[in-house]
Amino acid sequence: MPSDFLRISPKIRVLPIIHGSGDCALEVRRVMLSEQFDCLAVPLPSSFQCDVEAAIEYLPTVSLVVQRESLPGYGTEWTPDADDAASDPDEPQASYVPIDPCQGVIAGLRIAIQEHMHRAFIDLETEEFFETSTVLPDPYALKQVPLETFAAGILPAIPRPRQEQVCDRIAAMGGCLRALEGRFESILLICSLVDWPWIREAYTQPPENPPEDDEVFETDSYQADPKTLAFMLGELPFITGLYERARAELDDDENLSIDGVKELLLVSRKKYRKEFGNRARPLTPYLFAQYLKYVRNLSLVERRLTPDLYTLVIAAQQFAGDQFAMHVAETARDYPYQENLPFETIPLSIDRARLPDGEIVGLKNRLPGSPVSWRTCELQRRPDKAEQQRWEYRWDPYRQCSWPPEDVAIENFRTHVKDQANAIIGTDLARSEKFNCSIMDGLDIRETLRNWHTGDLYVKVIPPSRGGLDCVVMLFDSPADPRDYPWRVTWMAEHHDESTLALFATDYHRDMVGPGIGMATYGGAMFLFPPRPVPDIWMDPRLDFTETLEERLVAAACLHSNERHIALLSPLPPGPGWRRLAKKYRKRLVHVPLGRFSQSTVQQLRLVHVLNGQQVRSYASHFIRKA
Amino acid sequence: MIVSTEIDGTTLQLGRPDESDGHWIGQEEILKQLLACWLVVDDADLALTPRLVGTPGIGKTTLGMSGARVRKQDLYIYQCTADTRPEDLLVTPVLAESGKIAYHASPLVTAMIRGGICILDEGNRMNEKSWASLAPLLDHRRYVESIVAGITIHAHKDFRCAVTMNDDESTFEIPDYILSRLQPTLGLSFPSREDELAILKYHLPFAEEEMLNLTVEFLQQAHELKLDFSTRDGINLLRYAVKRLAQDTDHPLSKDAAWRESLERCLGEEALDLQSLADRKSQTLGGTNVPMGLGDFFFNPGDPMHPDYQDDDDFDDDEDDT
Repeated sequence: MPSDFLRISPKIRVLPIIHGSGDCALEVRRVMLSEQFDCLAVPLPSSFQCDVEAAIEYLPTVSLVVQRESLPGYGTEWTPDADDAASDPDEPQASYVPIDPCQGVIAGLRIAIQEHMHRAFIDLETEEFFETSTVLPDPYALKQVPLETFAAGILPAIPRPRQEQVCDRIAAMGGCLRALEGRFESILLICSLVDWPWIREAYTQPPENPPEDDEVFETDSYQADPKTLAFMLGELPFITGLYERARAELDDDENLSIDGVKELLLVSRKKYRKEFGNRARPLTPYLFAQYLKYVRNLSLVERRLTPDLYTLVIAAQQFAGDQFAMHVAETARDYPYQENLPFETIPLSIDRARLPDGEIVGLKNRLPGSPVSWRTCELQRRPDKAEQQRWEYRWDPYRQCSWPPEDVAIENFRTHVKDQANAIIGTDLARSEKFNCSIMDGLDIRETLRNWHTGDLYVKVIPPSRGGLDCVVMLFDSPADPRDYPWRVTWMAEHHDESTLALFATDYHRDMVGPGIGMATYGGAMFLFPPRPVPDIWMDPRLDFTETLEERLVAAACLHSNERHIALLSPLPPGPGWRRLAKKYRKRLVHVPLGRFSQSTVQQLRLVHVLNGQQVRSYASHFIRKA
Repeated sequence: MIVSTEIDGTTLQLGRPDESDGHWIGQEEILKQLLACWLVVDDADLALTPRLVGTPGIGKTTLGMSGARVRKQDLYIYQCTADTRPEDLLVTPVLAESGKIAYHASPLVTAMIRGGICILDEGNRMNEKSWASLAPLLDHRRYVESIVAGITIHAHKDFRCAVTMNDDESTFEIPDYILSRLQPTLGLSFPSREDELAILKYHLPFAEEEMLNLTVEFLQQAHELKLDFSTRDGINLLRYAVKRLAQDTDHPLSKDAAWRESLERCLGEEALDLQSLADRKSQTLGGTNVPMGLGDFFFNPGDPMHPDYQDDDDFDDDEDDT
């Protein structure tokens, strides 16, 4: 039984909501389906009724109904309200109603239409709409507290409206409710949480001079550009899609504002893995648990219970790198039910839209939620197909070079692998001997205790490794499918700090990330340091006896190395075949396990960018992002 | 006074908190993110241990210090090195005056016991073996085992930790099972012009406005070129220039000359070529649009509807103003 707290009169029940919230839309549905009403009153002017109700019929495809305002300076007078508005004075203005399924008013109208309930649009007609927004608590609290308690808790903090137009609109709505009472027995009013006490007051204390409607323009319906739905919908487009899917499939949608975030992550991971395959970073359940905890904390720090797009994207970047963050941003932007309507499509931005005639108008939401602030983060969007094709078309096949920061990183890694291999060679040579006159490399406690009964001390001897190491082979993907790695090249060093490099990698033409910048992934590479000119190992007939790409690299390493040992970085140790191959050249392979290194760092190192000429280096960093 | 505590019958001498002054200026977002990592909402909830990454001198340690200050907790800093051993990181046996062995807790263990905040500075310098000794501390177990002292030390519920790391090759040392415990990665970027000026003024309030502006201009240009000259370099450069000016009051150097000399001495000769580098870069870039940012997911960078769009007229206005 609903409490009387949210009743304006015995015939009028009020449902104060926060606009643009899926949780509030669910509350509207719960109330409308659990109680009997014969009229639904909504805080919109009647000039919107026809187009709004027609657009609701097209749901789940979302759209918006726009009402233009007269141009500034043309037939309008200066008002203090207009001066307060933050909009550009030169920009034409319009107000709009988002036909958003997660908008409580729209959800209410949608049910009312289906139930053949009478709908009353009770707001005042205003030629120039004055948009107000107030910082409100997160409606996710409705999962824990009833709407009555939620409204009662916020009531003392709701400020009395001071703007003349807002007061007039509230007075008009109070007047309309009184008129509706004469016709209907049970009325449900859905309105903003910040307006309901004042509508109630206007109902009980009608003003002496009731406000009059303005002459207004007719409304137009538009379809929003699917890419820019995030600027119109109250929830993320992906989560709005989940609400609609649950509605269609009669699934549980009670906790989608949080569970939807988890699904967003899983879908993003799927797309990320599909794109990167075995190059993808490991996105484990443990990592996601940490991610969600961090997102929760960030939201709490910002005094919210549910995360916004910025928080989700920045956290994804901080946990799993740019590429995964990009997938999160793209997935969050997608709304699956956007079909072609008989309306023209317009792109939306923050409080702006470009109308079909190309004119950019300032947009004011008739059903505004909490104010949204735009925060951007450094994240590179994926180039579209046309851009990639254009860049590929302009590629000069006679010019290619590497990107120096990646050279430095992979050279450092080579040094590191070489050091590890040297340590392994040294460990093999370590031995214990009886203490004589020098403590050598330290007391060998284990050996001393083992021979305790003899009374002798034992010391460790770690002799310097014999022979150096001038060649490192890295096999990141073995066995490698030659079809995956069509780009095979031998690169000579540009300077004395760089190795001679032979590699096989994916085709960089297939993944253009910027003008004159292609991205490939190493399958394997061979480094010779100090650098020296060698024939192209992929053309060298002396290596034609090899059958696989990896074998050719190992054989080339054996052929060109001047030292006895060759460091081999690979997931598994080399088998007898490769060892025999090395022996043929009087070499020895020193295996350095790939698992010893951070896999996410290794995945980043595998990505190599190929630049179309040295001049591209000057701007490449603007397009290149870490994995 | 030496503070000690007893754990399982072993007396541990505790360290002292760091008293240095770390004031965070600008970039509120990253501080907020650090505090979010350290927030717990329930007794069963665990704090995250973030990695603070960025080029040297950008303020990673200062950020950690500021976080500790905001949370009003004692701060302990452990400087990691390549030869840090597990016992250095936890409990070190020291020969006391009495000839007996005394056990000294590291800053990390002191923070664990006293419920403070520990910053593992330059964490990626440390080898895998030392990191392994911290694995149980950084997950739900929240304890470390000191082999030397033969004790298990549990972390106080208020204990928080962060690791600073430089972007360099030594990161390869840290294996995945440790990196997965060091999440998220908070990357520090170079400060904006206003913030950088405020930082320089905070550290060198006595420096003249003209010198401050010269330095900020230089640093901002370097950041734009993605050169690794940090705010710390700017502070050092400015400090030396101020000293050179004050050195001989009878025949003072011109400010420009002192600043240029300081630039060359502190950052090397190539730092003098920054302008020509910048010119070359702007010529090469030409009219290429550089897409970068969340708004690029919705609009092309040149689109007036782009949330981060700035009209060319705005730039012209700015230039006119200056």
